[in-house]
Amino acid sequence: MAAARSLRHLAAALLALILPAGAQADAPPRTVVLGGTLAEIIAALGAEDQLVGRDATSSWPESLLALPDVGYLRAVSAEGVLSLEPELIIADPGAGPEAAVDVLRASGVPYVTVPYERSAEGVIDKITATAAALHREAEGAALAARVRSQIDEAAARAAAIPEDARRGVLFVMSLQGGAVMVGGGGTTPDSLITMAGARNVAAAIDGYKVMTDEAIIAAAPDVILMTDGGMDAAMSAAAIRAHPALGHTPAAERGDIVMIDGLMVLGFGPRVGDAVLFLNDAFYPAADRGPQP
Amino acid sequence: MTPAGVPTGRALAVLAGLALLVALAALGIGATRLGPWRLLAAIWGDGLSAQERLVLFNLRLPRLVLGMLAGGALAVSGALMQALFRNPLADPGIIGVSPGAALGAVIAIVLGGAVAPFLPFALSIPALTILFAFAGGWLAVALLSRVAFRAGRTDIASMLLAGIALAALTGAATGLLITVADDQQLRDMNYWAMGSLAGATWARVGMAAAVIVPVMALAPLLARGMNALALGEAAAHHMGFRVEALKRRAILLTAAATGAAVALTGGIGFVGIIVPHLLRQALGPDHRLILPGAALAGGVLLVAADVAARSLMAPAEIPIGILTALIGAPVFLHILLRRMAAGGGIA
Amino acid sequence: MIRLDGVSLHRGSRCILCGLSLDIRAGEVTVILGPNGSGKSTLLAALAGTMPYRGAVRLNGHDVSRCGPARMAEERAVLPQHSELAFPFRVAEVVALGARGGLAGDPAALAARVEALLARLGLEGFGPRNAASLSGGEAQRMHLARVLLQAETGSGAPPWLFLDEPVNGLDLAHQLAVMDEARAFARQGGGVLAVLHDLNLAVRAADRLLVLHEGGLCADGPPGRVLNDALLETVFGCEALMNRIPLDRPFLLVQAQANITRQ
Repeated sequence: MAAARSLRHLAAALLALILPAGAQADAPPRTVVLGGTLAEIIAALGAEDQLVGRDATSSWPESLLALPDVGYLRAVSAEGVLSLEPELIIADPGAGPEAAVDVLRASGVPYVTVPYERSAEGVIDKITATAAALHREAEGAALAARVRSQIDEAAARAAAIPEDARRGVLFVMSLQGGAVMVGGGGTTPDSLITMAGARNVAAAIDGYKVMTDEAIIAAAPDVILMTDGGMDAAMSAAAIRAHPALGHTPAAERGDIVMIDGLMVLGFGPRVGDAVLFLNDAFYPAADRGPQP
Repeated sequence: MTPAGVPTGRALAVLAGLALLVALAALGIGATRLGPWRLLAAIWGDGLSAQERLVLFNLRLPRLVLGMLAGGALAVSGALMQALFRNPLADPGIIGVSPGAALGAVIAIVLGGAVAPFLPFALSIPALTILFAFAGGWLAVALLSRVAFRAGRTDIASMLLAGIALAALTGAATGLLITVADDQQLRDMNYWAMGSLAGATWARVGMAAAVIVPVMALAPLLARGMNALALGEAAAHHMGFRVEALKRRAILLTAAATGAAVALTGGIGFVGIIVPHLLRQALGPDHRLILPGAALAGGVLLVAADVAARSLMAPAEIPIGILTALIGAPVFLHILLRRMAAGGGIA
Repeated sequence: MIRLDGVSLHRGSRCILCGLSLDIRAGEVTVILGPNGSGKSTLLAALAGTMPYRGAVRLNGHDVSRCGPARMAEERAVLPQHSELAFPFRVAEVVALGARGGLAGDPAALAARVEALLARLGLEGFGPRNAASLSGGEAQRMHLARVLLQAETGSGAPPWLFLDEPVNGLDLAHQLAVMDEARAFARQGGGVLAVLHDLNLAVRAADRLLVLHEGGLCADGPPGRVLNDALLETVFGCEALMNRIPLDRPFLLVQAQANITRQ
């Protein structure tokens, strides 16, 4: 068994020597992905078939769930990854633990870290880098162009909104036990809200924090944005209206409560353009968007 | 032979044999197809591939050694604390070392990025976590001992109560840090608290060995004193033991061994309760046997748990602290119920 | 020989024994008597090296205040009223804990010695039993075996046995058995110093009585000479009928109501 495998490896090595580079393009490398947005990009590039393993955060598209799971992004099992006999590892810079990453780098399997930056430009870079690692530059360029045109469109729409007409948005992450956990500055929802031409009323808070009730009322959000809680009964429009602070915001009184898919709003992936355009539509329905340029 | 006829040498030999078996299992079982037979063949000179060597020497072997050391350290610490507090349910958490180490680790995980630039030496966050956890364990023990150390005597009851206050304090500090931690730090804290041998590298094995091996060698020197302490502090003094020195040494060794184990492997609980308990059941309570036995048996238990932790959900891993707690909590309750049935109470 | 020279003991700021000077000889059983609070156990603890005192105490010529626990353990063994036991040791293991010197490192000889001691104290065959399963009387004899082993294997010349209310909670036969063992130890040249509550048992076991009262030694001598009606009334606050046959070992029958208001 092992001997047969080493023979196969030997044959592959010999072939690589004989054949001109690029001749293996029809046998894409067995790939393990570590990082949810990277997995999304790989799928969007049409390279899902070459994936042989994933980390626990790689859960979209749902078809990825059928792949072996090597553990949470920060607690990856090195031997688990190697047992999948990958020929390529594509990883988020946050993958860990350090010791496991060191071993994977030492294993001889190409280990590509795709830089991560939470911005429109960052997503484009990520798509380009991932496509390069997979030798799918053409698909990468097409995907990048699509995302760029969506972002550009959103930026144009946002620019058309006068500064004083920008709506105040509050992203509510959870309502567990009545405590309102919001997305402050430096979070993905914060970036998306800004890109969609609105302002995050919780921008002064750093990261995901519980916001006190009085500050919520003082912030007076025009729109409350929340993730589609699924089974979580605490996350519903009714719960917002019944909440002692959220219930008295302009957003709740007018019913401007926007639900969005959690995976879309929490990660900065290839769907960022879709997300921003969706949010722009939701924050500024055509009826009250005013005269179009 | 001890007076009661316990074959000391044979018991230790059996434990060493068990350790050997578990070691073979740990080296021969894993997600990659490098089984025990392939391993034995490799010993006879049938070469391993580069990747197989990597898995064996950089993953499984350091992990095995770290597991043996950490498990032994936790078990010996547990046995020392049980002898010191004269209670089979005592564990190193009592003298503050594990809560202190946990707080140190959480501080490093959450604030390490902010603190690191001001340190006189360059350290990664994981390295900083080890350092802070070890220092946190020592600080907590020093603090508790200071509270409990009065008029030249270490008052065990004061130490217990101060330990409760300390646990509350570290809990509050951890809670405060949770509110400023970002998502990734929260996940890191969670995984740290559940313990893992996954971070095992030869550097970590070296750090663990530097602290734990001396403790394992020194602990049996306290065995006779620990036996005498079973009759109470006054009786131990009458029998010629310097009880205060004995207590201080036991606390010192425990702080060192548990501090190192927790700093390097995170929150792995219950090993210090399960192992001495099983050993007392099998070999009797003589610490001349329990202390060296725990050094071996603790390693056996932890490595066996680790084999399960990385096989049950392969290619992912279960944090090992979850497995030890699953085994340990029922053992704890079992001891407690038996003590209550015997009218022994819990204290 | 234990020599006390101007020994004072304090409880807080109060002096409970002031300026005690006396010699206690080996080869006989010396019993300390006195009402509650007279400092009997405190004195014993001071002589055993576990209680600070003022003045000088020499045990077999060693200055007790300068001796570490290891030296003291060579000179004397202590049997308390009650011993705890944290783990389920076997009876033989508990007794063996007392062994000192070369015997402690010679398992075979130690096992034989322990077996012999257990047999001597009526615990033959108890060695492999769980010590926690013993009755109160059996447990106290086991601990007596342990301290006897310590006294016999220590290097003290002569060895001393300190017994602090050793028979409390024991039935009559066990009380007598424990004290008879102490007398046997003294007959072989050892020193025995015991604190007892029961006057009749004290009279029966002691060669010499030390009666402590109001900060000092109020009587010292053989039981037949020390015990009299006046002492009973002033020291113990009660009246008793005293049977003076035999003359050297009087027998007491408490007759009247206790009169503790005198204290």
